[in-house]
Amino acid sequence: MRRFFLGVLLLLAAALPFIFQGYWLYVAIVGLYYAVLASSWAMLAGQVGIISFAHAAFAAVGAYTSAMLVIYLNFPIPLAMVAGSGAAAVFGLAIGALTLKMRGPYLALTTLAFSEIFRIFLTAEYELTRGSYGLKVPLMLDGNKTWCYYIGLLLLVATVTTLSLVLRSKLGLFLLAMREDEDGAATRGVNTVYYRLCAFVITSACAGLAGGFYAHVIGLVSPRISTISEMGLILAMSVFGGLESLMGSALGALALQSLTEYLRAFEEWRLAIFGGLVLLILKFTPQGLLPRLSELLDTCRQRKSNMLKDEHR
Amino acid sequence: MLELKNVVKNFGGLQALSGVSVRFAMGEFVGLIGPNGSGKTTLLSCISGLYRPSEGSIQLDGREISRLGPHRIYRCGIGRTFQISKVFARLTVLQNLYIPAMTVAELDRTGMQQRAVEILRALKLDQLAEAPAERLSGGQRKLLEIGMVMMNTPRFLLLDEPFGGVHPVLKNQLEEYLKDLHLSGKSIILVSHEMSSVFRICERLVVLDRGALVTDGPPHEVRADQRVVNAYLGGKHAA
Amino acid sequence: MLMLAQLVNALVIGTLYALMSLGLSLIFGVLKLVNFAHGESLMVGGYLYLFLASFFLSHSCGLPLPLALITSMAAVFVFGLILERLFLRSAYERKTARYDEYVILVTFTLGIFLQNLALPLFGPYNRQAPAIFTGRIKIGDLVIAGDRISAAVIAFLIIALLLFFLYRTYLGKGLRAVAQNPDAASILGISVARMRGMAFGIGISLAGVAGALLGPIFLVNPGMGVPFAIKAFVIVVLGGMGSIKGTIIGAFILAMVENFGSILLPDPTRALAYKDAYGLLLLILTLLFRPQGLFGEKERRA
Repeated sequence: MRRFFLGVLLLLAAALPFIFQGYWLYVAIVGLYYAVLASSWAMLAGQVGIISFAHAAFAAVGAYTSAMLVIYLNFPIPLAMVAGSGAAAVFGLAIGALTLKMRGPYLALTTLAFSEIFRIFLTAEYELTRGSYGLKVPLMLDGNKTWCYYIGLLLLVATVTTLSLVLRSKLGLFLLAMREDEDGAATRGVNTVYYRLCAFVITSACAGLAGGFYAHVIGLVSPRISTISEMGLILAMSVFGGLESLMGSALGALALQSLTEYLRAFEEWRLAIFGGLVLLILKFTPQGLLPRLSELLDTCRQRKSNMLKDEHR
Repeated sequence: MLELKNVVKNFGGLQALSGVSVRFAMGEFVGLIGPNGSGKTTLLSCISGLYRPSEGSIQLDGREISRLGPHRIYRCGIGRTFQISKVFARLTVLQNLYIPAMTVAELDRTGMQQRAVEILRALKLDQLAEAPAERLSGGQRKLLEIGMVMMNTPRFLLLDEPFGGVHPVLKNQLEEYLKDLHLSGKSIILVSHEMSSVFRICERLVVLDRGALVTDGPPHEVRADQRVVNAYLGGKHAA
Repeated sequence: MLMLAQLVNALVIGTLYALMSLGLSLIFGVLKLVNFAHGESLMVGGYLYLFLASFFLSHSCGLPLPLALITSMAAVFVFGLILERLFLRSAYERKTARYDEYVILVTFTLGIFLQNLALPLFGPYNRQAPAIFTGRIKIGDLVIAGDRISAAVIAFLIIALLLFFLYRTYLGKGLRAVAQNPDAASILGISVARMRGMAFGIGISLAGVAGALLGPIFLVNPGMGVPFAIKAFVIVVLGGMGSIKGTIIGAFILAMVENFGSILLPDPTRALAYKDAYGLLLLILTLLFRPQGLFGEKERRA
């Protein structure tokens, strides 16, 4: 059932450029960027229990690294994107190594400070980054939106697949055990700090890659990518789709992104609305809205099939 | 040999261990006893690396281990269980056993599966291999924890109240299992309130009271020691 | 002379930093959570004071400005009580699994919500709140702006009151008891849930009044709280989470570093931009060399 559902979803996604063109395709591409960010953030927050506020900043690290490598050093775009992802991973490694050996909110605090300082840096280093005006970036594939869309879709599928495989591997089993009982895992030989760091670096690299994609699809990078509000948007998308599910949070991102377009008229109220929504979700159904909906659907279906059975009798 | 020298552990203003020095030789079966709050569990946590001693040293075969993290200490061959079992409730019994085995690249996949099956059979848990650990009873969790430690080949086993909440039938079985382990050359340090079991199976008893060592010797001597009686009676008769 | 002026400035700013960070520290001590909406609480206090003070002045109703300060502080206190009741109490009472993660998500989202509510309501522009005392004080060659010195004096008084409250009154002792050991406190008949509400209310009202005092000196805008919140985080980590003494000392250390650090950068525009970044440097150094902070409990569990 699940597989069927996934297949239909993928087919729909692949057919999208034949249905929508122009502006809505562009919206979908940005949606894919957010979907990669939201699903990798959800893996971190929902499966590992690390709450990082630097995910948007890591996307900015990836975006600026990739952009500047292409502009100043004439790197080919794919290579620059990979380098951007690597740069985000390095920052993730440094922050994680500093904070992950301690329990509690140290990582959340440090990542928040990092993302704000990084935004200040991007704004202040005008010669390098053009400050808050943003840096004009060469487009990938000559800006062909259809191909950009497919590249984005590929990125999203690759991210979700890789992260699911990671969760099913030895690393995933250890992460699960650590989440159940940290001391228990440590006294059975699990190097908890190391594996948490691994998860943090992997997801940071995903964010960096998404950032690189964004840069070369939109053609402009600005410090806005690294703002705390942007981080709030990613959080809202993940929580909306369900923190404990990678697919769910990716869908949550796409849903909120399309909702954003419908809310164009309320542009400035957008984040207040999403914030309020997330507060309600956290209070009433912490597992997220989409999983809750699918649960409801399941019970409905079950009731229906039970009724059918009864009729057969 | 595991040697503790003058181990002190403070929690804020509270001194849980005030300078404990004790040696455990290879192959010994030692009971660690004492009234509630005497520091037995704290001592185990210091050895297993969950707590870092405030002062003093802990050496395994002459190598200082008191600064190592818990996973490193486990890999040195010191495994422990907990008073309130730490099993991974949402994982299956088998997965629980695989986790410690996978942290040490000692066994290949088939070796790991064979070892797991052997252990489950020895602990009479083989019917529950695929069940999530949250379905186990308290006593079964205690057994599973010992099984997890046995997945690798530890030299020292630190067992915290392994008989607590265990059904009497299971308890006899567990006693036999521990005796077998001891005969096969494992060193066991057993913390327990079940005096009858402790006196029956341990070769040597170490008594703690209020964070300090009271006495250390074979069970019959300890049983006759007035200081031990005093410790358990709450110091009313202490000099 | 420049050095002396910088020193005085650091002391003034340090007192204000101490005020807002004590709120964060108190919340951490009692509720065992980092309030990621602390900056926005500060912003709310800033706007409340701005509107009240402007109202008092424009209608010349004879009400003194300190009343606006006290009213905005009280309003933020009540706001804190409500927020705790709505979002934090149930998590504590139901013993929500993953309490740590839940409270980070909730307080952060609350911050985003408040900030983005203020944005369309009050507009993105900077506004200047009226200062309580606008004169200048001259000591020899040294001139100190009145808004700064009055803010520092008021902040100092509030800190003194807070310390008196925490160490000398029954309620304050109850708060500290819950911070040290909630189980023991509840056995002694202290209502832990009520103390948690009080601590959150007092904690964010301290941020609120700090915002009201900072409003005239810096500017009031929806995002004003963010840099101050980050400074408060740095201070609390530096001082040792939950330590009152550490928080106060940490506040002055950060103020000193910011004031004297900006002398080191030759380019003045850049020095100004990076003033907010020194905190991160301090944070990294703390985490590297003394992760438990200056006065934190040393206990670190692997």
